[in-house]
Amino acid sequence: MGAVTYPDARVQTIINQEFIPVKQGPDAEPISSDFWVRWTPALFVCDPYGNPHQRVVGFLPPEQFIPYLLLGKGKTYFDHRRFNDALAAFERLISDWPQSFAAPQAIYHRAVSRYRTSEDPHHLKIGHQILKAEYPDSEWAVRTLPYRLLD
Amino acid sequence: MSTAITWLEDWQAAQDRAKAEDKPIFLDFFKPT
Repeated sequence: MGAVTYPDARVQTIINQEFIPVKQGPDAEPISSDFWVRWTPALFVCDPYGNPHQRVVGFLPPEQFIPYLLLGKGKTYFDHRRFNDALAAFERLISDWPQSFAAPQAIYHRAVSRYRTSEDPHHLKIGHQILKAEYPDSEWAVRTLPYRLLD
Repeated sequence: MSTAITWLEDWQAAQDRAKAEDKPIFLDFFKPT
């Protein structure tokens, strides 16, 4: 990460502007035990209270790492019921990084966030249709299968 | 290689700043080589 991903100007911009970046050694206690770190890189997006909402283990190049940051940001807001803020992060991920590993999961969470803000289950069905059409091999297409039955 | 990312090392200070700025925290456990 330090040799390839963190020197990338796009990575530096999003981390510095949109996150509070923290580095800890893998043996730093008690935080390492609190986060169950057994291998590195171990990357977390946490809320301001220190609760993790996204965990990734292993190297990611910038083109995959930035989407995971946005996914973590969206999931953090989603978990705190800040659905409009979550939607903004998911929309940005889907728009800017549609070929990334994180994109299908963002479509899933966008659909759920839209449902939570509108109570309209049609958004769930649309989410499944998009995943089935654009990411048919994604696990997230499978996870939305029940939504195809919605009216 | 040095980077322009302004990393914090104090976990509590990071949470305080995250609350003040209403931002999520990015936490990296790294193994220096």
